[in-house]
Amino acid sequence: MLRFLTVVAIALTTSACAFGDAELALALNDDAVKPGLISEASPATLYLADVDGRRLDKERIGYKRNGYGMKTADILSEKPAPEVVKEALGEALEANGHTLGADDERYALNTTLTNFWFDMKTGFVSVEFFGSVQAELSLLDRDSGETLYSEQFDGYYSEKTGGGLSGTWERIMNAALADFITKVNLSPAFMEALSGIGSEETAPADAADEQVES
Amino acid sequence: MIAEWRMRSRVIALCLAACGLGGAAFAQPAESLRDIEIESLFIDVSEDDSNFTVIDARMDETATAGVLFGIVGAGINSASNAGQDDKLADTLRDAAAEIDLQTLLSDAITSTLAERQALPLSEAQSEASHTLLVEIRNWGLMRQNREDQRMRVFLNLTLSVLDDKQKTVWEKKRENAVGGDAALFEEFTAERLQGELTALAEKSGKYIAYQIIYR
Repeated sequence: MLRFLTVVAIALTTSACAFGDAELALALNDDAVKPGLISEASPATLYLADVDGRRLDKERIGYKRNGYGMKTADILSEKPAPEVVKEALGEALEANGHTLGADDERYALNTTLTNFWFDMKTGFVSVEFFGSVQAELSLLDRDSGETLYSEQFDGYYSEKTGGGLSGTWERIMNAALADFITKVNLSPAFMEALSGIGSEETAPADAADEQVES
Repeated sequence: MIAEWRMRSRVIALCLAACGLGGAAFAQPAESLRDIEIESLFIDVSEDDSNFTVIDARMDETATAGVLFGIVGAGINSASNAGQDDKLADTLRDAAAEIDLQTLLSDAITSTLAERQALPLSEAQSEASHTLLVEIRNWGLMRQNREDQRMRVFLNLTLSVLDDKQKTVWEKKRENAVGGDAALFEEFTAERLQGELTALAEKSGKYIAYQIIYR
């Protein structure tokens, strides 16, 4: 009986956490989808372009590591990382009162994803997990070709704990994604850029209203 | 037989511990900012652990340490690469010493919170229900990434909220900010470094204040 239990325990530990790839379901946490500073901008309609993935390693989002820090398997995202970031940005913009327009919109929000990575560092009695999401956002006026705004954002989350498996890793990466989105939400420069295009969009409508009244 | 059983039990226990199944015992759930009822806030910016640094050679060695481990991790790399980076940092150390990050951050946080009338600010810690402690850690210049030689200014902070008994009720480690325009190290004059770090500190201070306003 004891021998059986030993075999089961070893099988569980090695198959579950060491050598098999892990796939994480990553998305923006519900509590991160909320109005921030950019909700103070005039409502804008913009095209959210596909995220340009320029990560050094596009095959995975991290490695499983053993107690010595050696790589044992890949950590993957169920959805491609650029897609996860694009969805999160879309949710954030809509939560802040802005509208996602079609491909022919005058203004486009371009995103270059430079880092989307999970890692861990094992100590004597604890493990520290790290999640990082870095990207540059730029707002383009497609009529003039002018870049109206660009800013680099660095989302980050770390947590020291006794250990954790894929559920913990998912939570760490989602927290890093939430931190990235919070920084976007609270950017004064992005708020100003959105205000600029939002007020331009509403101006002709106001003028038309005035003409009708006169 | 008993000795064998004990040995096997230990092996199983070690396997389980190594895989982190004992995590609950160490779990330290972070309290969300919005759960803290702040009646009045005292702003305290500390530069006790402030360290001006340049991360260039260390980025080649382990990019992940520099980028993922919150820049602090880059400090654990080899002495030779750290020495090369120190030499670069030395050329800008005098210019960096003239940047008063403590005042820049404190002013940006305080003025943003005051402008918005977000919550009462206290001038003395003893009068406040909570203290926002901002600790300046590593700051300076770091390479964009392993493939790109150009550098940008960065600032690495730790944020904490303490209650009136000085107990930490919320903490955010490694609040990283990167700013300015990417350029080669040689292009960073004293004026450029000071200008870009000043702008980054002001931006970071505002961002910290907005985190409290929109908590």
